[in-house]
Amino acid sequence: MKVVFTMQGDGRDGLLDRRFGRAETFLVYNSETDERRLVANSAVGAAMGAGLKAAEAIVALGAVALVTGECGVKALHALQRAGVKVYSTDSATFADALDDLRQGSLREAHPA
Amino acid sequence: MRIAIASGKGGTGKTSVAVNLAAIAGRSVTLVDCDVEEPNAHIFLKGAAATTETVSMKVPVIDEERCTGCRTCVEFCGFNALISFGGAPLFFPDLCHGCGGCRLVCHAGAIGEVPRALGEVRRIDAAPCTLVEGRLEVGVSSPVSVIKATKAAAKGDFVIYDAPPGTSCPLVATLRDVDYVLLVTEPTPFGLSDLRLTVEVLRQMNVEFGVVINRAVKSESLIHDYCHHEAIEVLGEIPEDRRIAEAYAAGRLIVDALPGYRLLFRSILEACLERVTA
Repeated sequence: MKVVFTMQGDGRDGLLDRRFGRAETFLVYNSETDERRLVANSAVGAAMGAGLKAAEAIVALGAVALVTGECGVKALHALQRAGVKVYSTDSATFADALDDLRQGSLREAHPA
Repeated sequence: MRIAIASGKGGTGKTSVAVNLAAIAGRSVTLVDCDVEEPNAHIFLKGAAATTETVSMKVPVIDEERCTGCRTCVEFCGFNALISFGGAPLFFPDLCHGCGGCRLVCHAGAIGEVPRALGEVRRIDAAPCTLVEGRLEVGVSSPVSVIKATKAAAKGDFVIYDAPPGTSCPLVATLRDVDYVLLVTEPTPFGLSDLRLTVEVLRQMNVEFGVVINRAVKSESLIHDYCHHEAIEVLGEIPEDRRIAEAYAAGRLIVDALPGYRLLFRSILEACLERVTA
């Protein structure tokens, strides 16, 4: 299954971005193959509705879950409608967040 | 004749100046409260609402039976109010600007329109003059439609607009088609900073304007220096006076509570009128 993590910059530093819609890069992690793929977030420059545009992209990537810092209510609503689980993390790096995901210690995001 | 009272920075005294100028002008004027996110002119110009009308915007409603999931409307919407995960799009009213474009581009005829309430416009017969007030519904993100409807509801040849703070769309919507703008500022670095921004907007809009300094103190020449340098006229100064703050806090007009200030407001009003007719 595919899980998307929101990453700072081009994602190569492995640093998570706490923002969802305005994160520059999505790291698509495939838990079966351990493959990691970096994808630019095309919604990053949207004047409005970046979170919704990004939610569309997450679903198009075939992800079943999203790991990010904070996710706005509209994007959260949209992702829930699409059956994507949204996890909120305080971890600074992809590696830490992945550990938390594997251990099942990530908390699911709820509307603010 | 349409005069707007604006400032950039909030809390400089726009409403205080607007309601007192309106009270001095009397029955001939209609005061329009365009600060629809926080209308408060009614605190000073008291009266019962004579009429109330709802302002609404047409937003799309999607017929999921007819929708082919083609995404044409989703791609069209510049505000990302429509998104799709493959099937019929999801609609997010907060982001919709009511342009109706999605309905026009839909090949399947699957998009209809329903009204969404954005706010209301009230006409109040206050003692000194008529007040028209716009009020934005809680949760609506853009006040522009309500500002336009509020302005349209004001009748009469002489109108004073109490503008919203800031320098973005709500201010521009208020100032469109005005004859003169009175900028109320205060002699503080914040007041000056936002005055500069507002002056930039007004110069781009090509509107005539002048400045009133509120809470003026003799020792502070910040605003005078700026206005002198920029060749902007200062039409009046309202001094820092505790009694004004007390009248304000009690919801009273300065010109009623402190008749000694009538002359000052009359001279500011007359200066504005002269600039309009000149």
